[in-house]
Amino acid sequence: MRPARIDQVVPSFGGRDAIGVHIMHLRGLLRDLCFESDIWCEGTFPDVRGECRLLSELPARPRADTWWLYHLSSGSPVADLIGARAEPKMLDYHNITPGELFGSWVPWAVAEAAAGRRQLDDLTGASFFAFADSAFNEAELRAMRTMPTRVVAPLFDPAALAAAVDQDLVATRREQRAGGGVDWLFVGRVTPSKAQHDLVKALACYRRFFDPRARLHLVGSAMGEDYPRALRRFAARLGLDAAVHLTGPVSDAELAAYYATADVFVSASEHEGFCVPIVEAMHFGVPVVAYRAGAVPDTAGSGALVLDDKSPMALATAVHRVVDDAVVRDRLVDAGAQRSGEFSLERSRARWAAALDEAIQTGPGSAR
Amino acid sequence: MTTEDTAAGEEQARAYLDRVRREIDDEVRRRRAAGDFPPSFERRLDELFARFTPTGVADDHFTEALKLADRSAYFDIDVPIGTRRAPRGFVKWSLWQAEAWFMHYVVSQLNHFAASAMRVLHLLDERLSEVERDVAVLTPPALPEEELLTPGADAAPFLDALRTRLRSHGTSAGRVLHAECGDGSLLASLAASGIDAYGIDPGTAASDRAVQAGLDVRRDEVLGHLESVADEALAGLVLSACVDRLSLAERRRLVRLAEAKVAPGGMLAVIGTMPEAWERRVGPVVADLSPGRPLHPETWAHLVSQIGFADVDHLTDRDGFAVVAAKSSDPPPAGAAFPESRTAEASAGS
Repeated sequence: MRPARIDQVVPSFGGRDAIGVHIMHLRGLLRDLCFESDIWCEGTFPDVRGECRLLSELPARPRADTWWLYHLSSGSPVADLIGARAEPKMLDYHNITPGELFGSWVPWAVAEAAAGRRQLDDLTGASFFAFADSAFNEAELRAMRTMPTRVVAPLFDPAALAAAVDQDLVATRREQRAGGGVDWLFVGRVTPSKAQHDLVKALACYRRFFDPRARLHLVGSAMGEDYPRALRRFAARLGLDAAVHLTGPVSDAELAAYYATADVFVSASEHEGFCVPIVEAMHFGVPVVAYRAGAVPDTAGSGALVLDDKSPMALATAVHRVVDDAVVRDRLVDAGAQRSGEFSLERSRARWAAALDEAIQTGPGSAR
Repeated sequence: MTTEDTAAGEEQARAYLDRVRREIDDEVRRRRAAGDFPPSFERRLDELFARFTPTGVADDHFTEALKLADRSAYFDIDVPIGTRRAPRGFVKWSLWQAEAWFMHYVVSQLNHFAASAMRVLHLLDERLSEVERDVAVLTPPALPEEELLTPGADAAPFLDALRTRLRSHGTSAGRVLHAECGDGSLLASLAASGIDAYGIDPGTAASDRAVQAGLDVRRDEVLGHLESVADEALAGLVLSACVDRLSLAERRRLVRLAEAKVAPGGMLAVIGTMPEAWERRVGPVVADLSPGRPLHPETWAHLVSQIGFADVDHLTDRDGFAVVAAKSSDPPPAGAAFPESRTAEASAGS
């Protein structure tokens, strides 16, 4: 039976991270499908405070004709709160980065990941349907419990990103590029699980054996202080302090400028539940070289060069091949454009509408 | 376009990328084997980054980690009970009051345990620091690399003997490696005699000159390179220059590696400088501050015979010497590889 309201809930709501963007688009779709829909969270940021409601305002009593859609990507007391409520629940699983990948760099993330795994078990038991960003995520759900699931990519809009490029930054970047040298780009949280240190090592090899003027741009906010500090010190010790650029958080327009001026997108990440930046890079015509981890092969399809070996020499040689061999580069760019087209907002919205319909058919009060 | 067309296109694209991936793998493998990509370079990158990890100990990171652990090693009994809503605050306070005796009991034991564990860590830190201070006294002051990389003994006087030994042992088991080959003069002579040999040298200028002369010479350091060579892959190993200056610990590694990497029946040659001649050549500063001093030919002969090499000869020239030996096909006697007491004797002998 179709509910009147589907509310989304996420522990922390940021409007610009991949999950936050997906939630905003999904709320738009739910409202277009004539559901009432709000976003609930425990904490948020000033720029998106008006877009969401705080869980401290949530009535204690169950709300009639309302379903929850919980977004799970890490452990949080919010999962226990929602899990204990009586309203029907659905799960949108974005995957949980295994705690061991944070090592002793980000101790709190290790504990959060462990809590997240426990809550995943609880929530799959309490939910009647689960959405998964990728087949990789779905496999984790199925390994945990037999339940109705559907793979459906997160909602994001690479075309909108490409329409608002920071031209000042593009001009600055072009000046930097005038002296030559290949520009590597990686976009993602600066955290050990994304393995930016492996990119620095690969850049060191690339500069020594292929292009001594190459640069690496690491775009994204940091998770903790120790890892980015270690990256900077590592790069400095290698004499790469001017070649490795950690941008910190950037606006969408700045992000677009980095995509627009990159020669190659390189990922050495150890774990990905989907990896939106791979699709964004493809949309900008940037060839993608990525290590085969988590959902990367699912997302990349045949639009990226996915490697089984991410030793510095292997990554450097792969980047050299992609940058230097026009045939390989052109084929990757063409295939990437085709692949990114499959994740256009329009197509993804259609897939989500179908997935929601399937969930409703499965939900409480349905004939099934 | 039909679904079949799309699927076929997808299949073609995957096949193309698979081919590119294989070509890249092959290129990496080929260039590693040829020494263009020295494995020691990748290893040094790993080692350097490891120094910046939280568990690394460089740059006093251990002390930082200990401070972090100190801060985390206290369990707070005073749970936050503040809230924006009075009734909820009262409930939290009531629960806290009801459970406080139990929580106090458990948490105080946890805090005792954490404090004891931290005390042990601090004691270990103190002891390690003492050891490091003692060891630092024994560590020779660093010398600029270009001062240490002085040319080794001239190999020319021993060339005929080396060629003869290499021919008699045969080189079918693999290539001959000349470690620290300088400008490659010995390699050129071996090549002219039809012996398949390559060289390594850590000095940029020397290795560049050798490459320009058409020789297979790679820029690499001896210990790292030997680590990356497969066991028993070398038909012969010629060690020069490095043998004059490596520290005692490094020389022990070198001997073990030589034993592992030379094929049975293969040849090992050590071309060194006579200790007295070395002092004259490098001058008092380098002689005093170098991490190691040359060993006498008798000492090298003794060492190589200890690790499974037979037919040991040593030839001497005015300033240099060559110790030449063949690796026995029989395994060395158990415990013979560079025993500690003999090492001490060898050092004293120099």
